[in-house]
Amino acid sequence: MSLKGARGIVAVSQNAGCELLAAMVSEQVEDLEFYTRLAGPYPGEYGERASTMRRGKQFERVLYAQKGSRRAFALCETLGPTFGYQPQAMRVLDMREIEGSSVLETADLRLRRTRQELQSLRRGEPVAHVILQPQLSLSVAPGDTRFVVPDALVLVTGVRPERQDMYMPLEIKSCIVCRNLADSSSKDRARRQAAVEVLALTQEARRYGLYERVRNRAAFVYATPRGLTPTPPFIEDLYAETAEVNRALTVLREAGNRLSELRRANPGPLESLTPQLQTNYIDRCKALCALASLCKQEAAPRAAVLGDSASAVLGSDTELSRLIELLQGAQPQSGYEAQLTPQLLEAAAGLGYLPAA
Amino acid sequence: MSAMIDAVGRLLAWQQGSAVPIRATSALSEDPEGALGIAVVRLAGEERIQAIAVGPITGEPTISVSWNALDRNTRHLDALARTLDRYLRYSIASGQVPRLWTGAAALKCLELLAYRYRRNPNTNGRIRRLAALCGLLAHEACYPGQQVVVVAEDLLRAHVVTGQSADEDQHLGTLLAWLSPSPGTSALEEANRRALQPASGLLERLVDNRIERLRVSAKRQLRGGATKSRRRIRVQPAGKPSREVIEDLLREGVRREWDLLVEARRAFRGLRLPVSPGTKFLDRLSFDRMSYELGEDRSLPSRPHALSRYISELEHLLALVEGFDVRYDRCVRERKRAEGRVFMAEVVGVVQPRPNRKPCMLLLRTEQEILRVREGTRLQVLDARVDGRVTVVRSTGQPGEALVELELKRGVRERDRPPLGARVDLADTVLLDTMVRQRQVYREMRIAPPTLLERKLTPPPSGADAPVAADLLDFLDDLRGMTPQ
Repeated sequence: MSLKGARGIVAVSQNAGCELLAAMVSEQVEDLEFYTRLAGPYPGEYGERASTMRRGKQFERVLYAQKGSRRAFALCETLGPTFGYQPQAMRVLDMREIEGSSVLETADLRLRRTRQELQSLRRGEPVAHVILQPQLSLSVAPGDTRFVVPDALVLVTGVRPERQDMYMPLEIKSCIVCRNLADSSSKDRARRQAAVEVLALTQEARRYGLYERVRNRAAFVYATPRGLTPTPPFIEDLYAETAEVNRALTVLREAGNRLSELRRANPGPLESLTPQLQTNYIDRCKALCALASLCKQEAAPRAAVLGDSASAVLGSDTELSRLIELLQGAQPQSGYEAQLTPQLLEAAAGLGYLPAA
Repeated sequence: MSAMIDAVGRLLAWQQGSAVPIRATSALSEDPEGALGIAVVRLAGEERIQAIAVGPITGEPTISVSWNALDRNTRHLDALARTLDRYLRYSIASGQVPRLWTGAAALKCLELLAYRYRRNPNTNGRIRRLAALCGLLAHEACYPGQQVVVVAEDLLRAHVVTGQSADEDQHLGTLLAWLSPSPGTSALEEANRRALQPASGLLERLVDNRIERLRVSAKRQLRGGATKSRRRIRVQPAGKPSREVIEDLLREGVRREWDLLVEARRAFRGLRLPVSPGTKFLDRLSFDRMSYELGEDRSLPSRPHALSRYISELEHLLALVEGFDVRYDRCVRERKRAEGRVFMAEVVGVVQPRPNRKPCMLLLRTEQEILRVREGTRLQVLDARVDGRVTVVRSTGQPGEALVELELKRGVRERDRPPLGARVDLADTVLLDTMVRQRQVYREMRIAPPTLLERKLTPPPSGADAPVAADLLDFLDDLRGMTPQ
């Protein structure tokens, strides 16, 4: 998985305790490339499959397709009923039409256009109901601003007098929703990604005094089991996710400071600083970062390798060999061990491995 | 299972280099004759079946592949449709519960087949029938304790823990590394090696990507062949057309999945756990459900009443399975004891004014430290048909000792209830049949239906005089144009 842009922030939000991951995201280092620099060629599978990418692109193409004499977007037909619009009457601003001479220039042009729309919204002028591929910016640390690109922003019109119109991020995911249930890991990633977009939108909205109108909420469109047919949008509150992403931003700022501090003594590349950066091996690491197998090797003699649930009750840094000694009758040497030993023995008895005390 | 027991199980498995059983009995009955196995290779993201292996789990499978799973052709599902239909009909007709060994990813694909084809008028009757059967099996798999669909990784995880994380246990290959370690290699090394290959109905990434490329070229070849001549089909360097290369790769991939499934079954049988006596009853329940549903083409419950009945049934089955486990499996019983939900007590008094008649009160003394028993808790005496409700829990004054007064609801006869001085195990897994209560509620509702169910609704008030709803429910009713009478 790439650690650039919003994906990196999402990764840090999923393992905020790993200094190395935060450092890689802060320096915008690709984890696969970093793995190769540290340990040689990557042995397993890495990255998204061609078939998954193809499906994702196809699904977006289906939703962004324009149909009929009025060239209405298919996405509007999906969104219209939920957001209270007539699909044919929806105005769509398609940012994909804005192209610059370079990637950076394109991003800059699209960001300006998105801001114009927000400004118009502030002035109460008519704005697009849907902005496809808008450009937002998110300040991660001083001097580190990242572009965030939601799949779309949808205008939510106020249903109460005190609430005014504002955009809401929309994420389009091609994973299949069956009986209103999506795969939990895909859903978690999508929600965190949307949380990054909510924070970026909040920062943009602050420029035009629209801050109060942004809600911690996003819409998600998934695929049904029937090919590329979209589901009606799911609108979800993202309070927990925005809190975790906010925490990730703090961790990234701290990582930047820590790297500057370390570089004063060792101005070398990131791999030379690796021994001084703490890792935090958890179950999620395998899905987050290419370095997971290295971190697992490092954590091998400790309870962390037995999983998050075991880490929580045994202590992630506790040596496995010491735990075995305690089970075999060794005397506890600390208050923690004294507290843990009876529980270990009782659990072993519960499994039929030791006589009950 | 408590987190500490799970953690210690993993610790012990790590130390001994092989999986640690967490049950003393098998929660799955013996395989009936001709039990089926289904392994698939799916298209990542699409969840469409590209290759399928189906056949008796003890024999050779029939493999069918589709070089282009993205088209609407379902010919590769014909073998599955035929085999599954024939097998299910045969099992029910011969009075034996059907058994299907599969993996979690394959079951998901089968469930999606039901969504895609069950009511699809553009496909043939055989595929619609297959979709209905797949829906039935996916639905059956949700029932606790069901004996029809065996999801290999779930079954193994319910019976053993390994020396790796629960997350890693979801990979059938690595899980098996702990159950049947290769000689000369540690289970951990073997698990790490196996983790490099996917085991959830997916091909290796490089193979998958190669098929994506070959599919494009095969389509091009097909177009060329269709419009001009078959002789003009370009061939791969190895001399094969792209389509055949894809098919070979898929056959190889599905064979690997099948072998994993067979290995999982062998590893499970290798645990040599005696079958829990409770499975006989669960077998009968599964058989009854399947034989009833097989003749009907019913949709999944979606309306409130059907859903509430379904949820009640699930709850009832959960309690039933838990009760069987505590009664017949000593490992589960010991774990429940550690949680305080099973305790050993001595009968120190019996208060029964009229012999063999209610009321009958048992006075129990226990020395168990962790005790999750409160006033009103329903308890059953394990190994006897006796249960009752706790009326008093009090300390005896001795440290770690408690007295429990149990008012018996069942088993008050002297020959049934435990005698004075007997030491018995008690558990809070008394089965409550909510279906009986539910039937009572429905009967009452039929006699005096609530107003909302009568559906006698007036048209909504219109115009500016319409009252503004103060309550959120009223507001919703206004929106729906429904105002109850």
